[in-house]
Amino acid sequence: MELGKAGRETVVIHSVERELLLPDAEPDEAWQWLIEPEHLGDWLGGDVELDPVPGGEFRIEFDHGGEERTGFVEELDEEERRFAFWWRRPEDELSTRVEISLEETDEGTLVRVIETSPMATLDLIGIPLPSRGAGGPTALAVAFA
Amino acid sequence: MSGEPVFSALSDPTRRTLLTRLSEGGPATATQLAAELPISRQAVLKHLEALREASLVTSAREGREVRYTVTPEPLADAVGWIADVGAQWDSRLAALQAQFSPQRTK
Repeated sequence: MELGKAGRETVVIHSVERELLLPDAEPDEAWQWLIEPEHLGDWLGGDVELDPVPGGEFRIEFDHGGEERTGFVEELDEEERRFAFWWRRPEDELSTRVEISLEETDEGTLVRVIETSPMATLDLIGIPLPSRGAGGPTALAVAFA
Repeated sequence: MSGEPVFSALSDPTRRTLLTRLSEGGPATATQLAAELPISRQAVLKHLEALREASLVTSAREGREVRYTVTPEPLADAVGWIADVGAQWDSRLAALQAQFSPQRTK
């Protein structure tokens, strides 16, 4: 069974969202921590290789013999301070999408991270979603806040 | 199955906690869940009933108790994924925050 728009309500869609306020950070400085590979690796916890252009290669090898993930840069918008990339583990079929953005607020620089699941990612870009398991559509429309 | 009851069932954080617990820890009774979580057995039962109506859990009577199991499989995947990925970002953002703390080391 193919689940397109008509099957939306029976499709797993979920994402994880986190925010962090950095009271002492200037947006310019925080931005460097998002897109400069060595800085990015410092807090992601691995060695990052990054070609900072749309379509550019993204690669991270997590510390202490951890897993490797590869992907590509979707967007790197310095003006909007938004950085989006896709990554996946070698054993996974589908990538997840990560968007990290900065917002200047009165209290400081707000970092927002959204990682979107493979199923939701497919939906996002308009690819028909596969059904899962036996017995027809089993998944659910789950929009986690 | 309509998506609507599922959506509203999952809009409640306590119900998501219950689902995560059932997904990670396996089937459990309301008594067991109430012992593990800071809510009464009565409240647990009410939430489980909402989840059952949305077909997110199934129930089976076992002696004097009813045991609840997460269903279907993709939901268990989803709940597990959310817990894992959320924990990863919590830890990464803590590391980023440390870089900007007043006593930053570099």
